[in-house]
Amino acid sequence: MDYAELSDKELASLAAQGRQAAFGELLRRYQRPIFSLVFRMVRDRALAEDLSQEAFIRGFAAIGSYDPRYKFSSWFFKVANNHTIDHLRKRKLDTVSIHGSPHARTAREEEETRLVVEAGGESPDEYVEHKELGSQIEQAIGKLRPEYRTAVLLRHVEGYAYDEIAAIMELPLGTVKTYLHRARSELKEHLAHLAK
Amino acid sequence: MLDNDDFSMGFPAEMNGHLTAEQIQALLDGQLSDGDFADAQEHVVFCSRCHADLEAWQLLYAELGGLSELGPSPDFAARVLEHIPAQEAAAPWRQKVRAWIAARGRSARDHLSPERLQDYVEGLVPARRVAQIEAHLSGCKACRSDMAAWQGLFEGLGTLQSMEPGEGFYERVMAQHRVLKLLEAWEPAAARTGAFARVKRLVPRTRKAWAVVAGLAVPPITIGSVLLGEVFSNPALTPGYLAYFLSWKVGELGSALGSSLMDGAVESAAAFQAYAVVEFLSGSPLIALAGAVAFAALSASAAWILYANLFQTRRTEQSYVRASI
Repeated sequence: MDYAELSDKELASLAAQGRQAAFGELLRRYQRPIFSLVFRMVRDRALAEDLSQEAFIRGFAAIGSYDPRYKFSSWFFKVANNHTIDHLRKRKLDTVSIHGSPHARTAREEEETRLVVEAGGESPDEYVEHKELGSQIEQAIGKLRPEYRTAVLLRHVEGYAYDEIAAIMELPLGTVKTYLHRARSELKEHLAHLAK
Repeated sequence: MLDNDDFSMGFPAEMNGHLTAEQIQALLDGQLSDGDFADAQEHVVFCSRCHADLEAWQLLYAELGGLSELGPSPDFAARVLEHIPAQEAAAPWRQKVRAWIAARGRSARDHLSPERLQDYVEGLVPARRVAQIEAHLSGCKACRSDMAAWQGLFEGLGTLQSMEPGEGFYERVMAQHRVLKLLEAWEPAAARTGAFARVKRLVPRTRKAWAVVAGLAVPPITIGSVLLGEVFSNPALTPGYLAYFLSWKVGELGSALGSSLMDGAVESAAAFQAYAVVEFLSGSPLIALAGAVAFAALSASAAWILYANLFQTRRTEQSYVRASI
């Protein structure tokens, strides 16, 4: 059987029966788009690979719950996006201020709790990342809030329709429209200096 | 004689010394103080111009005072009241229509909104609106410039490419997937003890975790392999001899352990006590029967307690799980 010629839905059905080759073909098809989305969301290559790997494992483990009435890619992007957003939310809770603890009562306490950021050279991985995400538009996308970023990437990189984005993000269609309009307005502002 | 300089009413007299129109009206309305009133009267007597003005104002006052009060027709109030509910109901509708017309007029005059321009650039505007937007764009330089900026942004977004994960990504995902599938195969038997969940939690999920596990596993595996290699490199030692030797040693160990346990049990104080109890019971069948009944009752109670704790509790927990899904 030539798995490369099967549709996503057929592959998902075979994968649900435990066919390893079907899992392999689905992974081959979606590793790039899923990794791209996650990488642009977290902007860290190693972390993006770990999160993408976890997203695939989650998706494969839950493949029996996939409903073939819907588009497989939308379902899979939903799994990956939810996993990434969960990670970003968790990371937001773990972040520390470089300006010192907000609970510091004296200048001394604030000084003691301040995070010292040492200047250092760029590691090879960081160099690659900066090269990949260093363009003005990538940087502007990086400044968007995660929900806006997802919407923009799904629309303009993956080419999803508005209703498909709404299904992936589990949001009403109107909210997706608003997200995209606002996200692009913010991007336009961030990139306004290029137009001058 | 009233002199303009002496005329100290609340408002000044005209620059030429005559009374102003306001002063004459105040005089006729009785709004002047006693002193001012006397001064004004005296001025009017001697000033022909102000006298004539005063007479003209008196004539107007007389005319106004002669106007009769006009009343509406008798059924006027009834007709007004009849229309009040209808007007109240119509008011919001009319307001809506006015607001809509005003908005239409305003949108035709104002610039296109960013949302409308984005939708236009994306090709999402309905056909009937396209002509309207294009008409506006042809006459509005600001909107044309704005639209060019949006087009630039859309082109920029269109240049974003998918990115490739690092080498070995495919193999890593498939390897982890296979390991988890293998573990799942054990699940039905192992799940009863929760062992599957515990083992599953131990499977590394990230590359760093895999690196740590590999780092920890490599030294013992290497040392063990070297030792085995050394042992089997001896020509006198074959796998068959080794198996025979091991089975002989294990058997010897087992028999030694069994005999020591047996000796310990037979010679222990508990064994002597048990023997004494059996001897006593065999001397009295009634007490032996009572003991057997008590033993059976205790065993049944113990079995019930075990059942209630192991199986009934699990069923209850599962119903909670089902309810919370």
